[in-house]
Amino acid sequence: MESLLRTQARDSVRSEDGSLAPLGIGLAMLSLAAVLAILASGSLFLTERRLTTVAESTAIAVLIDARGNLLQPLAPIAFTWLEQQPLEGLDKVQLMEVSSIDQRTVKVRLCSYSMPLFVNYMFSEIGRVCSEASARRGR
Amino acid sequence: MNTSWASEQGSAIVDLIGFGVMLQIPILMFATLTISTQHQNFAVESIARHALRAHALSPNRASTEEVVQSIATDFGLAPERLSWSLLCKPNPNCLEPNTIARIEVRYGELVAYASQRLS
Repeated sequence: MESLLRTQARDSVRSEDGSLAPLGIGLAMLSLAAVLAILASGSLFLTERRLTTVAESTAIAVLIDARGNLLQPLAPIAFTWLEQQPLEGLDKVQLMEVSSIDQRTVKVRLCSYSMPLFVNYMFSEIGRVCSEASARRGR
Repeated sequence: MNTSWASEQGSAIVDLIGFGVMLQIPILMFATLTISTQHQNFAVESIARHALRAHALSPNRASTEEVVQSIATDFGLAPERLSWSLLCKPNPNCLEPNTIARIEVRYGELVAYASQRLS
């Protein structure tokens, strides 16, 4: 009985009988999934670029608005700047960190949520994107 | 028309052409269109980012325009569809320190912004 089932299973795998329709639909679904994955990764990259642009401008603004005193709390300055920004194409931008290690450099870290075509669980933490930028004072 | 999906009756060529034309080609068209739009989106974002940076380093319109055109050419954008504007507050001439410069780049329906405080 067992050998009969094995033989049947082997024969069904090797069989050339069957319709092309499920194969065609499967191939189309595979193509669509590949296209959506490419678009989602592009969308994620675009969100990251936008966030980096905002993080850079925030770091520069904090550096200028602090007027040389980087010992003071820098988060309110960063929040003030971010509130003035339109933040087009970005969703729920969060200021994660604004700090100065050497009193000459401001480091800003922002996080946001990307808006891919579908929620990409495999490559990100439910579409969360973070970006970091630094600005350094000259002489 | 009594053919079921699992039936082995019919022509493989009809199946191939049917699925090739009716499913794969629309998917290919959708992919081409959306990837092209995304490419233009990348271009517009890059132009906004780099043009503003160029303006912060050398605040004159001619050099900023040069940067905009250069990046647009690199990305293969049509120059006649591309427009950009620079707004500065509180000083509209964008030359004084502490001015907030904001650039808006448009390419058809796509738009990108970038802001920076000038030192």
